[in-house]
Amino acid sequence: MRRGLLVGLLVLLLAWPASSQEPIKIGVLMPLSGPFAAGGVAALQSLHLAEETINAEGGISGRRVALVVADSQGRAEIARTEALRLVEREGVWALVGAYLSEETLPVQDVAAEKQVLHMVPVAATMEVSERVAKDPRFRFSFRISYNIAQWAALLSTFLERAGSRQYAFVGVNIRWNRELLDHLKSVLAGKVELVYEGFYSPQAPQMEPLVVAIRERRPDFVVLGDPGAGAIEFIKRAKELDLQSRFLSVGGALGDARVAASLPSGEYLYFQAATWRGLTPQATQYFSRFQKRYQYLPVGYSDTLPHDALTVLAQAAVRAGSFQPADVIRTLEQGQFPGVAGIYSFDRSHQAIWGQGGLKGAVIQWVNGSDRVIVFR
Amino acid sequence: MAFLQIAVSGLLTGAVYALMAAGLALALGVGKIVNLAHGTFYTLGAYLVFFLFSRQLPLLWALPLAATLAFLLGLGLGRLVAPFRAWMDASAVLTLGLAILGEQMFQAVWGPFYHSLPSQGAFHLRGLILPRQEVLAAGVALILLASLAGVLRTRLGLGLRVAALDEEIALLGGFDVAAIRRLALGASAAAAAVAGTLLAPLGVIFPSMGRNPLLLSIVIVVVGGFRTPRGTLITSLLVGLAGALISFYLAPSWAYVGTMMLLAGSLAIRPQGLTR
Repeated sequence: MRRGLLVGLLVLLLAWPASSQEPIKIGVLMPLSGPFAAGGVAALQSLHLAEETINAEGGISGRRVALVVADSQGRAEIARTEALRLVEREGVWALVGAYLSEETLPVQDVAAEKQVLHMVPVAATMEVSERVAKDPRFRFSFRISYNIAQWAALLSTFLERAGSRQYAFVGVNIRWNRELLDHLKSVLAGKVELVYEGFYSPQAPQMEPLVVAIRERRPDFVVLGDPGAGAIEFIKRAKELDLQSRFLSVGGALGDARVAASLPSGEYLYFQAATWRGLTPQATQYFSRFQKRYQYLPVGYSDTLPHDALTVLAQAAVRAGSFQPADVIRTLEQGQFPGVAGIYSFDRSHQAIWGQGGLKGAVIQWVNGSDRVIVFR
Repeated sequence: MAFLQIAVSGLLTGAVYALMAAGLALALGVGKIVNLAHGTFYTLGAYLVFFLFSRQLPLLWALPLAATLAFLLGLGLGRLVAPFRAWMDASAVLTLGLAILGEQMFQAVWGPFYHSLPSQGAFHLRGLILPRQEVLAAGVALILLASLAGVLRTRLGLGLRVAALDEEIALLGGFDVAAIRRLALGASAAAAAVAGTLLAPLGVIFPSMGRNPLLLSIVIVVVGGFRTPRGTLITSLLVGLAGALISFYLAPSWAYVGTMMLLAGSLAIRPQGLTR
């Protein structure tokens, strides 16, 4: 009898650490195929770096972090069904994603419905934080990235400090670019004049007419709202057709050093980034680690903020000492959390505070293919 | 001068659309399949240029390499889809699957990232600025379309035309219809790959880059018909020109929608197609 009890106790002792060390699953939704795969794959790479760091530092309350990845394909309906699968079948504790605003909103719906923590690493639409502010059901979502108003504020700060008097806006004809220009117009009203706005079709963009139209108006800056392939094509046409303006991009494709190396030399191209190497020791270390691992330089936004989303979430759970969503939410609402891009804190709409009094961001200039950092102060 | 710049740019763009669309017209008209993998050959051509560039090999090799490789793959595609030819929707689903597979393969080999090749500069001609690569692409496209028109006047061309019209008559005429169809699919794939090769330095190379040219080609073939290269060329030039003019004089956001509305309107007036 005593022997049986001892064996039973031994089994329990052996089993106990195993169950306590069962990894905590975090669902990741990113477009890993299709037109947005470039951004989605880079975002996932940054998440894996964060996962490794967290696990190397002991995980969350002793439990290892395991990412469960789903391909949202850049499509809202896929993002929704995959988010449901991650929660219901994979049993994830939290969700990170998706990438586009259009696919992030259905993930936010699932998080609200299933009461699962949700970190928004890239999407910019105002709707994400407006929902949180208006409806307590959406309290599970926290956004790490800039919202569109913050994007406009950061871009306008640069334009004003660069002495711009007239600007043109070129973007792809999708919601995010339309919203961005609306905000930019209102922030720059009476300060920098908008002389041209053009939104090209994502299906068949023809860049020459835009370049010719802008060339006639001679703005000192052209703001490029497309973080994808269209912006590269536009710059190529613009340089071929002798457009003399400088260009301020929202980053993404034009923040990629490999792409920059293929563009005509000069000092005409700037892009917005959340952070960059040389800005802080953390950023420099992250950039160096990313480059060493993946053999290319990150763009400092969509391949950096997902890293911070996971890092901030893990810190909040450790500080809360609990995996209960309510405890983690309370901690996130009240605390400050260091990440690669700086110290994160959230406003009442669960939006990370960027710009005035918050995270700074930076503008990077490509100078003949090499990077030069311009810091907001 | 702005009008001339925009008009010439639109026509150059249209000429390149024509090459891609002529390939699709061959697949549909003679090959009798809705080839939704047509864009995959376009992407293949673009990646071949990138491959040569990254290995510092002469870019001129890209054209014959892309054409030959795509032609062989097109022949293979012809064999693969042969059993499904009687059911057009089945061949569409099969080629759609191949297109998705193709994108995944490109992503597996070259990654999902954007690749960009250095710009080739521009010709300056009495106030007009013409991107060199665009002129080259349009020129090659026109030469290839003219060659196709020439081939259609030969005995082989007669076989292609009869096979497109009626299989039984072609068989009675002693034509090897199966071989003609495979040949048409090979040539169709080669045309798409050459278009990709020519346009790669102008744009951006990534795995799903073939989707938009495919959609545009389908529209051009539907409106322009698939019987003659002339129809394809005229429709393509109209699409390029309309897109550029609408973009400049109305708004870029209206370019695509406006062009599609014009084409839809033309179909309402001439349901048999613009040039038939």
